[in-house]
Order: sequence, then structure tokens, then C-alpha cells
Amino acid sequence: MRRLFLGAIISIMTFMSFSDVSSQSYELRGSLREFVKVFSQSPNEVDLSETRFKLEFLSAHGENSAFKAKSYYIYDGLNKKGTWDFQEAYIDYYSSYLDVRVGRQVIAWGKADEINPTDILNPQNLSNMTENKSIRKIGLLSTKTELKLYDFILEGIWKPEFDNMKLPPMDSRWAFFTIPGLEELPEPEYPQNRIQDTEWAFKLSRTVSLFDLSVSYFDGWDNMVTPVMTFNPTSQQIEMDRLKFFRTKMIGADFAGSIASFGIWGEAAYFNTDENDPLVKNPYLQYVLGTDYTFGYNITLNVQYFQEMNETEADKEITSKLGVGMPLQQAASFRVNRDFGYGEAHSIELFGYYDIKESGLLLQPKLILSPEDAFDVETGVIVFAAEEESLFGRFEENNQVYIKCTYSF
Amino acid sequence: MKKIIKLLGITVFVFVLTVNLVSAQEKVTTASEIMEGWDNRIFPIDNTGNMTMNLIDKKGKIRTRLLKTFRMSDDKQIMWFLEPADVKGSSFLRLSYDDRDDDMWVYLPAFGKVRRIASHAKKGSFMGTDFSFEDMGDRKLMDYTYQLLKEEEINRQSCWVVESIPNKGIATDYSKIVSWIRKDCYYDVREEFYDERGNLKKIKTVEFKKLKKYWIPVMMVMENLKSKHKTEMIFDKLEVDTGLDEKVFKSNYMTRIH
Repeated sequence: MRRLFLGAIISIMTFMSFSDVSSQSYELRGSLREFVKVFSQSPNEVDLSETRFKLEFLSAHGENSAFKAKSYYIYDGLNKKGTWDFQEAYIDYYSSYLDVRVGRQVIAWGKADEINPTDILNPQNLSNMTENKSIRKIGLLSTKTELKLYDFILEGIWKPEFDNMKLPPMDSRWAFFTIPGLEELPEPEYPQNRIQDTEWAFKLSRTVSLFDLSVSYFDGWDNMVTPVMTFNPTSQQIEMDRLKFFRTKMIGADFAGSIASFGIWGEAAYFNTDENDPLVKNPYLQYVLGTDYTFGYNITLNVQYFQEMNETEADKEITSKLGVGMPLQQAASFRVNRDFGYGEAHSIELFGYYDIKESGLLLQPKLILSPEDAFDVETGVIVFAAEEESLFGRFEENNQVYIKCTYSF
Repeated sequence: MKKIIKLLGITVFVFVLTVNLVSAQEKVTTASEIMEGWDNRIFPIDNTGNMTMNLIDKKGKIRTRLLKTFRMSDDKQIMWFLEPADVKGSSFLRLSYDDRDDDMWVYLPAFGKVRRIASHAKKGSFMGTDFSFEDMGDRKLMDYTYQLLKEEEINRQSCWVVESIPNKGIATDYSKIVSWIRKDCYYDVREEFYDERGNLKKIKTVEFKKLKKYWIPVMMVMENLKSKHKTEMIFDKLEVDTGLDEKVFKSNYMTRIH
């Protein structure tokens, strides 16, 4: 399948090479970021000491085609190990009615802030949950076409490559869960490399008066691994047999607009799978409703309510997963932000999640200073407060202080 | 002789009548008529160019942003940030309507998606400059009540000075705007913006250049009297009536690589 895809990319590049080369432009840009996180409780271990070098290469080939590659070199200072992450490398073709993007790419869906039930096209690396979502996302080989039909935009996506959510190791302080007797999760059973096992999706969008609206459909794999349990007659216990992924369909919708002086948005996704497994919740609905308002002194408040609705009580016991990245079933988020200084270059923010179901709280106050253009310093703390058995309670010993310095070029 | 006297009499009568008619025409130029002229000023079918924004603080420190802009009439505008590096690739789209508020969207590459700007945010600063999103948008003629204050020369150009007071229920950051409108082309060369308490808050000055048959702004300066900050917008590489496709002003175009 990947060979077929590579062939398609080479064909498109050949096609592009015959087009007008007189107005070709190239650009190299990127950033260097130092990120250190330290646990605030004794013995104040360093959680992360990372140097991240981002390099982007862009080339526009006249008005009709372009190329972009984005990669990260990440040096883990704690484990003295460097890795490359080739997040994106794609070719664009633009015309009056059709835009096509082919290659490794990150696709962002949804109009809510951070919590996006419909944003399921790329898995995320959740080993550092406090990382920016755009960095957490794992790029995948896909084609994306955008067809302009009158006032509508019809987006079609085909994903021949599959990858799954990367969870923190089970021996990590950030592990979502532990399985007795297992130090690390075994290699999951990946979908087969067949055309019928590829993923596809559609989205239809348009603007109506003061609102942007869209409906979407996804037919692919739940990218969070699910354990398959079997009864072991020797030990007379139910044990984990293997890890697998379930084929899932999603119907989604979202909107964003204004009413009076308030910005409002909403996003909902209904998930269903044909598989029948007691550890797979099926079907379920996730939705987010949000609003924001700007007060005097440039203070903006953004509030969201998130809920997952399950058909059975048993399903409620299974942690929420697909696309959200946070296994919360009923939560609110809030963000109070003020940009200040000349050019609004600096900002101060208090972000938080309140787990309504389990009364947990995550607070993240931060300060971002930009003494010069393209140079930012961000510092903040992350505080968890919750009952031990809840998700946030699991991380109550993980309160931390962090600092990030970023230079862009 | 009688004929000459008669001819002279007719000539004087015609002259007096003409002068009276002209002065009467000048006198009947009301604030509303001037603003109608301002609203109907002739824009190019489209124009493209680069814009340099210099953000100057009270100590004289300058932060510079470079943008590429496309505009169609006065209704549609799209711009991409080219510099500095940390905002490069961001873009802004504004669509203006006669009967309702402007629609505005921003695209921030870090988020990977286009976001609509809510109406309350339009009072906020446009990308950290002294221009607000409201200043970047289009004022609706029917949203204000006008009064002609005086006539005055600015840079040897004869101008009408018109006060615009927002009608009740109009969402705006200003209690009053005073505009100096050039008599020859109906373009505003200076505007004073007053805050809700009636204090002078910001002053905008504009320099124009004639390109083909159009008057095009080549420099706009917005000075914030409270913060003592100033933003200069300097336009260059300007081209008019280039035949831009209307599809350029769609939100999906904002994400393209330039």
C-alpha cells in the first residue's frame, strides 16, 4: 500500500516538474526550543530535559503547487538519546475548484478549544501530556482533497497508513493505567496492509450568516489500543490475551460563531463499531460546548463543557479515549488569558480542567514573555488536585514547574 | 448701445445666477451626502501588495511585521504574515457586508486550523498593532449619525471635517469618530477616535498615491495617545486590477503555502 502511495507522489512530482518553473520559491525556517520540567514535590526529580530543533522546508511552485516538509530533532537530555520525528512532508496542488494535499501530514478537525471529539485523523504522542497538541500529533501518509462547490467545501481524506496513540510507559509517573504482572504493553495487532483496511473520511463545510458549520464522517480504526481478555484455565483467571484495534465509524458535526458579544462553538461526534467486545464501549457520543468573551483590560475568558454519553452503565466504566487524549467523561475547561505589553507580545494565562464526574482539578497557570520578536520564554506550573482513584488523582504527586525557551528563525 | 447694455445685463445676470447656484450647491453639501460620497468612493476591482507594519513603543523600540495582502474592492481582504519567523504562515481573512457585521477568520499554523474571530474580539488589537480588528474592518454608513463640523486644509488638500456618532445598539469601541475627508476624492486622510468617555484615544493619518485611476493608501499611521504607541503600515509592490479570482477570499485559501 505504501509503495502504491509513493508511486502516486512520484507521479504528482513529475507532473509538477512540467509546470512553470519561473516563479519557484524556497524557504527554510524553524525553531530551537529548550524545555525543562521538574516535579515540585521532594525529591524534585527532573521530569523532562529536552532540546527540540524544528526544521521546515517550504517551496512554492508558482501559484498552483507547493511542497512542505517539517521535522523535529529531539534530544532527550535525561536518557542522552536523540531521535528524529519526520512529522510532515507533503505536496500541494491548487486549482480554482480543487486543492489536493498528498503525503505525510497532520489534519486538524474540530472547532472547540483543545478538546476535539472529531479530531481523530492523527494519533497523538501522549508521553508528554503537557506538550502542545500540534507537536503531540503524529503525521501520517494521507491524501486530502478540498473541492469547492458553490458555498460549500467538501473535504475528502484517504489514509493508507495507520498508527496508534502513544501512551506513557506503564512504569512512568504519567502512566494512564497499570496491568498487574505486566511491565510494558506487548506489541499490538495492527490492521492488515490491505486496501479494505485503509481509512477514509469526509467533511462538508460552509458559512451561513454568522456561523461556520460542518458535518463529517470517518470510517477507520479506533487509534487507542484495546486489550482482548481471555480466560486462562491453568491460572483460572481472566488475563490479557493480546492488544488490538477496532474498526470504528464516526459521524461528527461542529459550529462556531457569535451571538451578541459572545463567541460560541460546539462539536459532537457519535462513534459506533461493528465489533462486539465488553471492553469496547459502543456506541457513544462525545460533545463539547464552549463560549468566550473579552472583558476590559484585554482579558479573555473561554469556558467549555465536555461530556461523553454511553448507552450502558458498563460502558461508562471504560475510560474515554478516541481523539480526546484525556479519559474524562464529564468535564469543564476554562482559560483566562491576557495579552499585554507592546505588540501584545507577552501573555499571562490560567488554564484548567475540572473533572465534574470525579471532582478532579488540573490547573496550569503560565506566563509567556517575548523580549524580542521570535524569542519566547514560557514558564508555568502544573497542579493536580483530586481523589486518588480518579485520573487527575493518579497524577497528584506529579505537580511540576517548567520553563520553555524558544527561538524561531 | 442699448444692445450692449442688454448683453452686459444678461451676462451679469447669468454670472450672478451661476455663482449663486454653485454656492447654493456647496451649502447643501450635508454631512450625510459627504459620507455617502465616502462610502461610494471608487476602489480598484482588486489590488495586491506587501505591507510592512512597524510597531513603535514609547521608547522608540520597533517591532516589524511583513505581510502580503490581496484585496477585492473594499469588501474582501486576505493577508499572510511573512515575517517575523514565529508568526510566519499566519493569515487573516475579512469579508465585509452591507447589512451585517464583517466576518473575520485567522489561521495560525501552530493550531493547523482556521478560526473565526468572535464579534467581541473585534474590539481587540489586530495582531498586536494599534489598529483594532474594528479599525481594519469597514464602517457601515447606516450605523452612524453624521455632522459636518467644518472645512479645513490638510497638507494643502481641502477637506470636510465630519463627526460620526454610532447609533444606539452598534457594537463599537468608540463613542465618536472625527474624519477629515478630501473633497477631491472622498478619502479620509485623518481620523480621530474617541473612547467611551469621550476622550481622544487614537489618531489615524493616511497618505495616498494615485495608481491608474485610483487613490490607494501607501502609508497609514495609527497613534495611541494613551499608551504613546504607534503603528505604521507601509504599502509597497502595489498592483491594481490584476484579475484576482474571487475564490482567493475563501477560508481554505488561508492555509496555502506562499
